[in-house]
Amino acid sequence: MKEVLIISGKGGTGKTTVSAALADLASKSHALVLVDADVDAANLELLLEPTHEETFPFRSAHVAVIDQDLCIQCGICEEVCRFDAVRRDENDTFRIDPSYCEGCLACLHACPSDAIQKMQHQNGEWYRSKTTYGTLFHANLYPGEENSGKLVSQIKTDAREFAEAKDVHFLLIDGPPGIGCPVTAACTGADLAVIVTEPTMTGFHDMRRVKAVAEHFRIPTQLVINKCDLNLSVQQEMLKYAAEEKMHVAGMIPYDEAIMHAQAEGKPVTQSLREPYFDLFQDLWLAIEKAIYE
Amino acid sequence: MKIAISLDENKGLDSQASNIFGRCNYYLVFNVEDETFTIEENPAKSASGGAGIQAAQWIINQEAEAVVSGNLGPKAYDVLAAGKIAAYRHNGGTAQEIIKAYKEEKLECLLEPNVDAHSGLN
Amino acid sequence: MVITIASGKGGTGKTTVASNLAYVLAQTQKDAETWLIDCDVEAPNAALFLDPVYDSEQKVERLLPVIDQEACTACGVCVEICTYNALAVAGGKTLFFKELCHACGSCARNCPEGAISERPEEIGKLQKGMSGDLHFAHGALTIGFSSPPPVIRDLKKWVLDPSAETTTYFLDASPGTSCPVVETMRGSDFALLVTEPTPFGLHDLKLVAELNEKEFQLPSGIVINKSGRNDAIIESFAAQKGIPILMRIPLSREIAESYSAGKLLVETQPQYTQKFTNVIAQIRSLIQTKGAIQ
Repeated sequence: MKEVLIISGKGGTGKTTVSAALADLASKSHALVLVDADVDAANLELLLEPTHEETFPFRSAHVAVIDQDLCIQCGICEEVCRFDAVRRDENDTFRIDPSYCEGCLACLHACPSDAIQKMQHQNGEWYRSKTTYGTLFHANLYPGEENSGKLVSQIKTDAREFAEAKDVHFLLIDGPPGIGCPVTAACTGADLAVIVTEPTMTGFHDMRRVKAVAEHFRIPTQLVINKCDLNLSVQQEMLKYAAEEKMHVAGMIPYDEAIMHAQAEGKPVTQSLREPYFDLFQDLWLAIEKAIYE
Repeated sequence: MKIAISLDENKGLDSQASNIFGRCNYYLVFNVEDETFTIEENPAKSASGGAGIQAAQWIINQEAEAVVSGNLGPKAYDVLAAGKIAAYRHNGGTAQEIIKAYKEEKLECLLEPNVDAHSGLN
Repeated sequence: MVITIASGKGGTGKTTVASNLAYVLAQTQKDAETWLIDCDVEAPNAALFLDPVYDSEQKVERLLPVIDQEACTACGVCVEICTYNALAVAGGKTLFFKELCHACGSCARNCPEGAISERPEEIGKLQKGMSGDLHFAHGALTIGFSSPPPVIRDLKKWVLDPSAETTTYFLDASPGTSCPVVETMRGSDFALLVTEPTPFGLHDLKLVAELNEKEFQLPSGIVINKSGRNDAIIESFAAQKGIPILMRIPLSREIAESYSAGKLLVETQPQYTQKFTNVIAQIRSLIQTKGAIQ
């Protein structure tokens, strides 16, 4: 099983654009399973025209709840809670605010009268859909909810199992932005991390941070500079950095409204772009294919 | 001595093995001497995080001395190494086939039996 | 007045809008304090535009367990209690994985042998300073740790005084709608939603608007960045939800270039100073109107 993960650090650099284009090109020669691991704001489906097959409820969050009948109002839960989740009102009634509760259950263990229970709730859902490029696993964490690392793990695990069952050996994962738990969860098991960045101060800054995360997991990285001619001096600095870090530059895509318009069509940009842009994406795919099958 | 094998399904010894360590569906624990076995749901499957750690802990608690699965994350590796559990990687097949391969020492070894944790891993 | 700038989608221009608004207000309103607080602790970028001079730093620490292996009997109680699988007992020792730890204190509190003590560990760093007349603060999550909310919480506690009546705080949130955004928005008076007129922008604008509706019900307004011929896609959603569009920043290569060089928009295009001033006036008025209705 080969797993290619597309990440960026900074949002808006073109991760999903590149993922969709790779899905289009790779699917011509490989059977693929696709994962949209950006469960907070899942956008890959907007480019792949999926046909929905199945929805699964996601229940990972649990919170602590106080049973008022058993509560003796000793206040130990409030003392023990490190997340400011326990509220005491003017009658000394103790309640746990679920939006602050992290589910650590410290209060449950500390409660002398066993008045606290663990309660699960549904905090998202995930889907399996069919697309022309391969089966897509994607998800939506309900707004305001936590644990998006777990949901990322869930869809990746299911995608892997599905791929194995169907004798598919290539998983393409559109990763989440940032460097926190969702990115960590997306990284596990990846054979290659393709970092899509842009030649801006912010893009460069975040690219270095996300590269550090990938390295933490010992995943080799390659670089794609999107909107590459937006700022030639930052571009040069990035290329210099890539050379110093021995990071292969898999592609450089110019800032061009043709690409933005191609995207607005709701398909991978490679479906409507012609030369020279199509070739750029094709070369990018070939560089990645070479890297993972060497 | 007992070995643990990660499984996709529960069909006794004909179950397809899984190459996912932390979040596989089931674990088979096989007693090599008397050839008895149990298959249980993997309690780590629904963990929020640290599933590899939890699976490794469970395998240690079962008093298995070896596990056969897929690749191991660094944390799962550390737990198994600390517990002096050997780890092997299989190339697919049923539990029955993997047990045979284990006995014939044909499996790829990821973690030697009875070796201390490598330094340099977290 | 506390204003959170959020977007759902990454790369729409939250930091651009937040930094320019804060900079403009600080310049024009010298008799009161203005703050920009960059709450995107996974990828803090606002400093690249505002170039602050720092005068103060603070560590974000949480108490993490330390295991006395001599006293430890490998009983496994801590392993059972830890909700996050940060502990394991193997080879007669207890192993601790700090990346998974949420610092809840349960293990230390429940160890029957008293073998677990706690020690502060740095999980993030805060800095504050000045950028001209603008007060600035940001936080950065330490790599390897995966939970932004504690760093955001400490950052706000450090610099944000909710009782400071004449001070204006602009909070630059991270992209998405999960826990870090909730933590940032908590306690705000207004949600300024930055979007782009594309299917991606709309999709994610809906998510963040839904988050606000569900959790906070703050008065809100929209800024359309990279505005152009496709604005209708956002306008119809805005009209449907009754969220006013407060500003449009056109799609312009020049603007993109000045962003890429880390320059404030109002520096290279001074006509925007008045536009941003207008946005602040509209926000004030919308906050007051909502107060009146309640």
